[in-house]
Amino acid sequence: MPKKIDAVAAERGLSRRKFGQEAALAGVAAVLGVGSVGAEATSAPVEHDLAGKDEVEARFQRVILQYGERLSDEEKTRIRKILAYNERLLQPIRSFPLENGQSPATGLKLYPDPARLAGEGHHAPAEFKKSDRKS
Amino acid sequence: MLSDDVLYLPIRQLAERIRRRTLSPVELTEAYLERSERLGPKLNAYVTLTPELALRQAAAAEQEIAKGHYRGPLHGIPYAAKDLVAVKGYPTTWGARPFAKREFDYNATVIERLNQAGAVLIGKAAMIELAGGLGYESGDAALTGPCRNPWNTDYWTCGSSSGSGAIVSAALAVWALGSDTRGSIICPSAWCGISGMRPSFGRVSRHGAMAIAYSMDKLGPMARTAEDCGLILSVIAGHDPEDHDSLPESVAAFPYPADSASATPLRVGRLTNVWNDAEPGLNQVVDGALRVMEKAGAKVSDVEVPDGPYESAAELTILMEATAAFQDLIHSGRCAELSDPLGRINGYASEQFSAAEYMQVQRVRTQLQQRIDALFDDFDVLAAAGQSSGASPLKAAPDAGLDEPIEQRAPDGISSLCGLPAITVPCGLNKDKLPLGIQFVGRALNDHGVIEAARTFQAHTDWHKQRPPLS
Repeated sequence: MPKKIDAVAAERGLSRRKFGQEAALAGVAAVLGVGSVGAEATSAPVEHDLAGKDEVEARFQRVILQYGERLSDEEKTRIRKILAYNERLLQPIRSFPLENGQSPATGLKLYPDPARLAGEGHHAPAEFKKSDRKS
Repeated sequence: MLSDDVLYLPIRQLAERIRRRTLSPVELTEAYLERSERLGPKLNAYVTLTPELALRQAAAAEQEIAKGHYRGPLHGIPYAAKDLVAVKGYPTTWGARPFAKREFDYNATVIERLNQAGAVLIGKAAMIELAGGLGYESGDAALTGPCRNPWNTDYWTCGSSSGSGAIVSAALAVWALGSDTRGSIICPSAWCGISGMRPSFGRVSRHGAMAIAYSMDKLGPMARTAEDCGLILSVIAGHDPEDHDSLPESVAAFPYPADSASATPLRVGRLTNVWNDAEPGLNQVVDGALRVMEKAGAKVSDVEVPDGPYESAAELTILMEATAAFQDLIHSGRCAELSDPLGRINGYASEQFSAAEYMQVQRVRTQLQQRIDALFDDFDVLAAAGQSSGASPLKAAPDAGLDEPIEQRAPDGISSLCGLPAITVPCGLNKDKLPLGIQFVGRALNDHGVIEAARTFQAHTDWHKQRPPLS
């Protein structure tokens, strides 16, 4: 019943549910050499997918090495599917064109806060003082 | 005892009665507590009720107001807080079994701000365990069991702010605090038929709130109206040095109403290439809502989301950052105590991402931010359905969606990834008599814009006044 899943897929957690279900599809896709259905990954070359399959297997082996004793056979099977899904997520990221100078959405925040040095960095509205706090 | 008509009033009207002393905060609190005790368990809406604290705060509010010290529109107003924000003296469970008995000895900054405003905390709202931080498959993934939708208790509220959605929808409190990493305010608000807002990233401090994804987590209001969201945001927004990503006060502060209203017509961009899997009838409902906007003076035209791996970037960012946030749980093996089978093992898989992959995702993210921001050169807000359908049944078919593609252009995935403000408000019912929402997304920091768009819609409709058939 696609309706239910589609609605749920809008929310991140439900994507996680779809996650497990789509992982099975991802596994099939990898075997068939079919690219990700993501908008920018549909043209991924077959060799890329084969490499992705190898990557999934390598990551799976690392999980087993580190955590295998904690996992049931069913969970191990599921881990492999999760890794396949993660690989699907990564494919359009890998194929996204980027130049060397294009920076990440991460950045060092300076200390002390430049805004504070500029005189606007009061921590809260004037009427909000920690001494006034009540629980 | 106060009638349902009173308990379903928005903040503005309740606050005016409280200010004029025609409504007692104590009486109001007692009424919501009674309703919460009676209906809350049927919905699995709360983790913890805080009646002693609530009645103490309500009595203090009543006394202060009687003495002429009125603090503002949240003074004496009962609310609930998602159980991922720390409240001193009460459990803060994060909705998860490993933390069921954990207490913090301090209040989250947002709770302190609400205390300062004289708000009345009546309980900690149920939520999906770890707000879905390690993944989950169904609404069952909660310490308190599946949260039930007040519009039909066989249906889910959506998550992860599930209890917050149910509480507001069923009038167990006036409003509730939610959190949104990727749709966790927008989805339950849409499905529960309430008004829910995710503020711009960095506007509301997350100090004392559970972290899932440091670069995506936001706290925000879930309430009856867009105006209520604005009033609440005006209290909880502001710089906090305890939150690394808190915006400077000059941009974090949110005076509401805005100092000056725009004299030009609102420019609304109708997103035409999202929700390709919308349930039958949904697009017509949204089109009808946008016709209301046009009649109210807005200029509505079509626009497409540019291509891009938005959903991949959003999901990967969450998976990677959550793995760091919950590293102790993963390494210790205590993730096995989670109720959801996926949540128990997902962290092991996510740990296999590399640092280079994380940085690559964040580099792509910057480019995607720029693509989306360019849309706001022509539009004040972008509009789409709140979700692709109404609520889903609690018991889902096990093979549903097996062949579904990744929806790269889900609107709340895009706006969450880019840290943009968004609001959803009810705009109709589907064939199952379940709420449907319309959402407005704005340029970063244009929180006023999304509220004004939604407020304009609500000024000409009464969907936000509809109540679920729960008694």
